[in-house]
Amino acid sequence: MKRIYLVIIAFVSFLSACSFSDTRDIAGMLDGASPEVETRFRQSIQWNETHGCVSLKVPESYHVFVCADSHINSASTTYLQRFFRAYRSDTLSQFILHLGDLLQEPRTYNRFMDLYRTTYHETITKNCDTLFIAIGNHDLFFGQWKEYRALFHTSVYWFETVSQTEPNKRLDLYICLDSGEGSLGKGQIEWLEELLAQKSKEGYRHIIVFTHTPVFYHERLQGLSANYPLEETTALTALMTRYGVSLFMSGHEHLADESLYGGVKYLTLEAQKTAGNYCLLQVENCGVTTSLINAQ
Amino acid sequence: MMRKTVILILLCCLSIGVQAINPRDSLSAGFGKPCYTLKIGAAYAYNRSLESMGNFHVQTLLPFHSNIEMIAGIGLSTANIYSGRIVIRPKVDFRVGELYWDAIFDYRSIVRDNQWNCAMALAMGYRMDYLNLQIGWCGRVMNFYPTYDATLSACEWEKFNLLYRLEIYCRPQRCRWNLMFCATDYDDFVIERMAQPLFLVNGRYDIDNHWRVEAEAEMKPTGMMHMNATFYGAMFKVGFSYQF
Repeated sequence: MKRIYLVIIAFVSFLSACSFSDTRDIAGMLDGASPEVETRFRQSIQWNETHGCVSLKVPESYHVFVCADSHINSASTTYLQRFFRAYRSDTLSQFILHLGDLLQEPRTYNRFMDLYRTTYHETITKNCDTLFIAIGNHDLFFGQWKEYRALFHTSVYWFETVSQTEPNKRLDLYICLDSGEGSLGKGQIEWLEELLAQKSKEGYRHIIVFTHTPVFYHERLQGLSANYPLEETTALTALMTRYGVSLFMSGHEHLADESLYGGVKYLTLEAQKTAGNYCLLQVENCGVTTSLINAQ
Repeated sequence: MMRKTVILILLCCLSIGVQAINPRDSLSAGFGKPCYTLKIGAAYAYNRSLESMGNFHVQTLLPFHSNIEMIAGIGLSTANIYSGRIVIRPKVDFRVGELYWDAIFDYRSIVRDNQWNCAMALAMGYRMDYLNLQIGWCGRVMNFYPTYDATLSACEWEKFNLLYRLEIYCRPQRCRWNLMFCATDYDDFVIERMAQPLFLVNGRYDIDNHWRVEAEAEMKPTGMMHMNATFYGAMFKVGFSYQF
């Protein structure tokens, strides 16, 4: 009996120790500190309806810089700075997609934005036209949805690229989903279906969906990292296939992974914090080419 | 080192028995001893992806031999999802409890999404009066139906997934009624990924030597391993078993 008590005491002590962690919101295993996805979705859509969606004028062939899981803290920002510099020095680059988990330490959103502003000397517009963020689970820890919202306004949105030379010519559609808690929720799935049904008829070259949580669970990825529930996995993959999505990008797992399922390419990016690796999208008329770039 | 510790714990458990029992609660659908049994259940389920649905479930226990049994079941859902499962279970009785191995073959036809998935699992478990612990491996393959689009030929394999089940009972298994609390990643209808736990509470009452009624509530949170947990789905099931 004594041993059982000792085990219980050790377990409770472990949980208590974890709860004092300043980087992981252990209490979130029982109930997340930020509003749940349905609320975030509603707030995002409200903001989108008020402010409209972004339409970027780009050349017909262009580059997009994509990274995931920067997990910046007060000490390590080198890889992120390198990434921003590479983006700035590429003459074909048009914008950045960040697939979530910007932060490792809470309350460092401003640090992230300072880095972005100082390494990329461009005034960020109200819509953040050149930096598009998908919210990650770490970005929601400790109730940080308020801070995220104050900076980036929305976690569920779409934007499009149009031709620089012919502004009426639509090029590509980008859709950002909020999967910060491993589920999209009913409202977001319905919104996604309506949006894809409408937009897939408008003649875009490519439809690219990006979010934080990957769809598949592969043995080479992190053991305890969460995915969507199985019902949502099939619902989501069915939508991607039905509406001819070209590419689905995610992060979260910290290791690179690639699948072709239902005619859609599912790409999971390696964590930027590990070795600074990122992905370069070459978007052209003939297709979207993804190249994983080793920053070292 | 870890393996030795596990073996040592198992040996300790086996050495302290006082009477021979053959506990048969939960997935085995038995009545204290393995007999041919038919179990029928109906469930109301809700989740964020599919919303409300009704599930129906038929399961049979076929104890061919004192050391081997088969469980076969089918599930139908009004969400246009159909499932079938076969479990082959070799087992060995000990003075306290039962050591068993499960070979599980689970097929799901998700007609609403034009997809199927098939999970295969191998698991080992030890069942005692108040406790049932099962752990194993599960692999899954999924694809679209060729009738939907014949060009979509690439299957998706999820080769390693941990299967687990921890059941805690309030009373010994041969009691007329019992209450079970369970944390697992699979239920009668689906084998989930390891990071997607399911929490169950099950109660059963044996009316006589042939009839049993049971009720079960299941809660499925999502995002626990994201540390942003929230409610995803729930299921309430009632059913009865008849032992031949």
